[in-house]
Amino acid sequence: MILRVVGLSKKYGGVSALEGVSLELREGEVVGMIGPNGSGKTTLLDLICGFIKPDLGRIYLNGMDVTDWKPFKIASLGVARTFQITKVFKKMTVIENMLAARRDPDKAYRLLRLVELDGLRDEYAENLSGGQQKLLEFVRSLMLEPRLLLMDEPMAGVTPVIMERLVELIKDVNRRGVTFLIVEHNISVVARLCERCLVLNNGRLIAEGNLEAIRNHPEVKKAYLGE
Amino acid sequence: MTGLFTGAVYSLVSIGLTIIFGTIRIVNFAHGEMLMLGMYLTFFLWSILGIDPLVALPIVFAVFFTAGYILQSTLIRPIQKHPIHAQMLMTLGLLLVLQNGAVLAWTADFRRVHTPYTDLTIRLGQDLFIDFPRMVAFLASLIMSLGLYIFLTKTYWGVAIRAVGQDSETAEILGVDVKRVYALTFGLGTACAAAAGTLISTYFPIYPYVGTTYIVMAFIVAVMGGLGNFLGAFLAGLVIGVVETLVAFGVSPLLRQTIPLVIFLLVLFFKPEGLFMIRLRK
Amino acid sequence: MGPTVYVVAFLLSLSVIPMLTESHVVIDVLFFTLLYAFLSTAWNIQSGFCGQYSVGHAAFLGIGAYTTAILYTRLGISPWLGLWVGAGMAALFALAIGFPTFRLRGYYYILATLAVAEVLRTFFLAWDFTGRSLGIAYPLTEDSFWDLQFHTSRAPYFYIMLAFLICSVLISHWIRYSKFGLNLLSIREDEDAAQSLGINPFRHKMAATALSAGLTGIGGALLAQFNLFIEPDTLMSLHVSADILLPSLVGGIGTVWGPVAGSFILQPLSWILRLGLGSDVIHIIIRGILLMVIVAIIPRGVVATVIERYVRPRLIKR
Repeated sequence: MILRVVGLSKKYGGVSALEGVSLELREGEVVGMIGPNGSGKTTLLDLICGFIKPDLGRIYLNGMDVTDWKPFKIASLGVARTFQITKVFKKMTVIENMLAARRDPDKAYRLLRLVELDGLRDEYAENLSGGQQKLLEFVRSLMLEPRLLLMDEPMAGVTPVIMERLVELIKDVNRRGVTFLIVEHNISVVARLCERCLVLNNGRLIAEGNLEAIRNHPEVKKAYLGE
Repeated sequence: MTGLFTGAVYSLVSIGLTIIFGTIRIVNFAHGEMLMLGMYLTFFLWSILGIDPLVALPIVFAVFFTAGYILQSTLIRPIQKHPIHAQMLMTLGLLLVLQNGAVLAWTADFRRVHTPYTDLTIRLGQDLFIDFPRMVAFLASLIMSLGLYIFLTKTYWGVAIRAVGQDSETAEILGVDVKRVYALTFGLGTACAAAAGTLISTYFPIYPYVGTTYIVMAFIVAVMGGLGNFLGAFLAGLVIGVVETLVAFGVSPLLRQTIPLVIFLLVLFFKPEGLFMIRLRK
Repeated sequence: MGPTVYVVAFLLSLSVIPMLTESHVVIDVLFFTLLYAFLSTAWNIQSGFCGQYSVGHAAFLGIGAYTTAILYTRLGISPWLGLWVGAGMAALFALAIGFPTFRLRGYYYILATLAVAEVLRTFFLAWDFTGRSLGIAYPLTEDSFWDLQFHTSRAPYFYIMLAFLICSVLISHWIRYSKFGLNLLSIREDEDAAQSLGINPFRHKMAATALSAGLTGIGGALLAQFNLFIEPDTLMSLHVSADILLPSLVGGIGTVWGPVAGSFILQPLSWILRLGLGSDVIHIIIRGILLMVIVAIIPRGVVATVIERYVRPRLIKR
């Protein structure tokens, strides 16, 4: 699964959310995306998934130009997404959340067992704890056997136990060939999972490479620490 | 001409609606019933106490401001956090209760207020006849709108209302009594509607279903001007008033309600933010 | 299968009632109970399952009624055929307004449904073809199945309505537990998340509204046949739309049995009040109060919430 983004720009009013961002994802990679708040990370994910349209630039998935595609069409190509604020279907049960993706009860149970949610399958999603909801959102996205999984701050507000679980899961899933693009603030997680890292600031891609290189990058330091 | 006059009244009513929405984010279906009740109050003040509607205006305003304030604190506040459909259904219920309550209390008969100037017309130039009561209503609406505008921009509470409308959390942190602002806004909006009722009672019949007619228009105007946009509501009101009158005279009296509704739908479809969205925010 | 079995069994058991009583009143009340259960079930498909809350469903009711009435009174076409045409017209209308309206979010959509219903109502009031404010009156015939008119006994109306209601409940059930239904629920819960699962919201909303409208149209046709007279103000105004959604609200939005339960609570109550208080108006007031109270306290439906809080916890095994 190759994702290629070229010269993506998006403005809101007079403010540039993204400016001339280009990146490439190769199959099987786990790439991290970091940057201060408001640097455009979520906007980039939204653009890739089709929730918003760019002012400039193109997006290619598997060689196809999907820039103008609707989100559900892009999803059907094998792109899955988790959101910064978990978007589980609150007033539906856990099992219904899974089946809504695909009507495959066996697969659903297997995935739920993986995250120890199978006992709660008839519980309404809104009654789950925050961490459990994150796990649910994660395994739900796996129901469609995605080739590319975009995650927006999966570790935000999550207990250390759940964080471990998620990290293990991501590694497992990645071993089966799924490509990941993970937006995260938690640097240690990024260090464990991501071979490659992108740094965004003020809507621009200011650095790219492995974590070591980035840590010492002058622009990155400036972005996080100020002058 | 008449269109402008009618329009100004629409403006007033929908200004009330739009500030309520802008600040509390509730669409009050029962807004038209406030107008209707305002009319009834005016009627009774006139028939029992002999008070002229224009004189009664401040009284009506005060009464309904209080009523709205109380209404918000009791009925509206609990549902502010409820899902949207719940809120709308609640105000819809209120509409049914008030409307039919009026039928029950006062029957569906038309009442009219008669003042010395009810049938007065002024002649301007060769062909232009101006209906005096409508003109008065127009002027009063303008004055009230202006007054409201000054209130919203120059006084503490006015600014507080707008602040809460933009960002209620920040406003709260800055020390604004948000609960009171909500109640105030609702009171103000309600009072606007009732006052409008008083104004039109000089030339329009008073009956329980009059609210429905005006609320439809008020919604159209509010949406067209952009929900929450004071100036937009004002301008849109005038526009709609003119359009409606033109339709009634030019096209067909029967379609008088339909055409504005269609315009409403068109605006909703193509420009839901309203036609007059002026950037007042930074 | 769960609760639906009980609902259907209950409904079937009602069929003995006309054999037990000759009372027109009882049968009429039951007819309206079944009718509003039917209409609310239809409404629920679009609003309860899919989350597109419509306060203008009376428009579909009107279209179904008028189509059937016009076809019959002017072309002599049997209502049994006419009601399908009515359903089709209502569905087409729903699709037509779906295009522009489904782009709207939240408040705006609800307002649009209201506006559409009002446009249609005022339009029918002004249009010669629909008889303007005089509406359409049926010529009375002998008891006739083909003409769907029964005068000596109201029982046939009851049975016909019962049959349609059971069908609609089954349809509702089938939808709810199918992938289609899960998709609708997802769209209601979180449209963006639904999209990320590959669900096409627009197409689903259209399907839901067309189905909902079509069924409502059938209800309209049946109502026309019952009253043998239709006119815009009593058929298509706001409080009719309110009547259509109240049973779902009371019983439980988004459930199969909710609308039915709600109707069985509301309609008999309504009639008792009407007969007891002798005034049409009072019972509209009470309905209004009900609406307000229920919505304020229990937005998801009285019966549903009761079941949620007290019954479910015992059913779930940990």
